[in-house]
Amino acid sequence: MAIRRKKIEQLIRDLLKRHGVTGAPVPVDKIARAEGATIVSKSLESEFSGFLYRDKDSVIIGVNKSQKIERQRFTIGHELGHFLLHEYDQLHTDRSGFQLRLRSPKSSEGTDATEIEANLFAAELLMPTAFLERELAVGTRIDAIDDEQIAKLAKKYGVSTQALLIKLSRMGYITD
Amino acid sequence: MPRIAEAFYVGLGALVREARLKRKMSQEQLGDAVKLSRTSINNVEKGRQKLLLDAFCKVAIAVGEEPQSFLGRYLESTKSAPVEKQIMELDAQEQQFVRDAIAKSKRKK
Repeated sequence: MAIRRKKIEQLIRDLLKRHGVTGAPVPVDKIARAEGATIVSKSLESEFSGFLYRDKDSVIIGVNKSQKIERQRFTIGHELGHFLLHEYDQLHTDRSGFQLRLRSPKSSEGTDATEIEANLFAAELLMPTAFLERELAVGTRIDAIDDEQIAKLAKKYGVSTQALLIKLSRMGYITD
Repeated sequence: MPRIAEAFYVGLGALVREARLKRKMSQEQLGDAVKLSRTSINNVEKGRQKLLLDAFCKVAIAVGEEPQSFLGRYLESTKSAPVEKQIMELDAQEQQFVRDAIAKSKRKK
């Protein structure tokens, strides 16, 4: 399955518009609820980050509360992505480290494509390209942005600095 | 406990819990009915305590189930439902989390 980047970006633009979100931080939990999901959370000792469950009359997003708040927000975004993009599994569970599996040997298989899509969805939802472009002048290079600025920006968006750096590099603010 | 056996008792415990809540019984009430402490019932529901066959039958009856069909339904569910299969692959704490959430959403209806 090809990664539907354009479709995801369009979906997020519509979503933000529909819920009247014009700036950071994006209220990912409110959006998920408004889209029909119930969010439940619990502290778990394992690396379990969250799950998505759906049947004919309910949609549940579960989040591991023992993980950092930025991580929890990403998980909600990730599961919401599965909900809106992937229709098959009744239950889908996720463990930490799904970002690190981007280039695993299974990459060509469908399961990894859906994980990549859900990650793209979460990243775009929490850090909409249009919002970030407003923050950073055209032509800014990531190595010209100091750590403090990155940390401040990550805090504003409610994301980890790691997630922010990945997003900025995808947007072309970093060059090799 | 080997993982598969652990999963079996976690699953069975969750089913006991579901049946008990359906009857609106407290853990204490169930314990009294089958001569087990509330702590034991809690452990059974979490899959930490394994029931002997006679105790299982008593528990099933106390929560309003026929022991044979209760066990039968459980075995059936582990065999056929993909959701159940997936849940069985999780660790005990994760299973509890997912099962509680699903059970809660079903009770709301």
